[in-house]
Amino acid sequence: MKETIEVYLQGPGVAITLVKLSADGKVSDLIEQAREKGLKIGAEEKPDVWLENAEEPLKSGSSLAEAGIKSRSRIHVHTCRQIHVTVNFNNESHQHPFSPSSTVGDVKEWAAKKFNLKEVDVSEYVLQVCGTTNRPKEDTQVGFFAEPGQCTACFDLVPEQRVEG
Amino acid sequence: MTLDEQIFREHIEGGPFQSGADLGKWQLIDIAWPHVYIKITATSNENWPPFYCFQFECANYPVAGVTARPWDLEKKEPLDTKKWPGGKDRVPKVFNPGWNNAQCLYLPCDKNAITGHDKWHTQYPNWIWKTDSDITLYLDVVYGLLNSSDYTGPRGA
Repeated sequence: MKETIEVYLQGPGVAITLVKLSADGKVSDLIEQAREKGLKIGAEEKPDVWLENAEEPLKSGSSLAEAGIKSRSRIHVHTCRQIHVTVNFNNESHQHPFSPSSTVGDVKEWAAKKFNLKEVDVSEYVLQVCGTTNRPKEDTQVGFFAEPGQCTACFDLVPEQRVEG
Repeated sequence: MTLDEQIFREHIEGGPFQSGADLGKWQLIDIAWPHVYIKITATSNENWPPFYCFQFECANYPVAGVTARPWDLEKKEPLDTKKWPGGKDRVPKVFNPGWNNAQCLYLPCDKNAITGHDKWHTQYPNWIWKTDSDITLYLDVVYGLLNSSDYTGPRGA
């Protein structure tokens, strides 16, 4: 029986999903999987494939093994090479370019340092997508929020909720 | 197998649940439908436990949502309220054994707690259970509380 591996896949239009593919497959197989899961890019566009937190995309012709993709690896598929992330807090804004496979957790860690949050206070704040009430989980990759062609994402750093009433 | 249990099992095999499990945030212990037992990791030290177990009641999942209470895995009964998570402000508001006879957590995503709290739908929109929600909505909220600086270990500690 052909050996398969499972990897986590995300992209614009693709929330974190666990996909199965042949262990001896290629990086390009992940692009096909992402399209099947609803990746929001045109049929003619050629996205890149990223390992989580990598600074450079993988070579699409590489085998999964050559690319270092293993069981439960976390992958992102996007046409943007960088996501220009803005974080707003206390009437200040800071921007930083992140790889599409960086996570909301990575952005929060960067923002906490940028806004000089005390370590003890960091857990009392969360990132919220600008103009929405969406507070994504920290394992969501930032490329999910960036429209292909715009390559930007915006978050507000807001206090964690306190249940009342 | 009923449809609600089937859907639940599909959700725990899916990306959001498995990702949280792989990151060490939670762990499925047992399914005795409609009850499900899940451990959620907490900030720990030599006096604080590394996790709390919760009994979820999941009948008519996901349409009806879920309700949960802390659970004693060894004794197979509700956790003694003296061992419930404690905290400075946000945590004791949610883990309030004085409310509803300690039957559930005081959370907008809890199907029992939301009853009689209509304002919560607009006050806490991202914590409201919807028909397309999955169990990780609830798990992530509790994980956040148990790993916050507000948490101060078990109440009796």
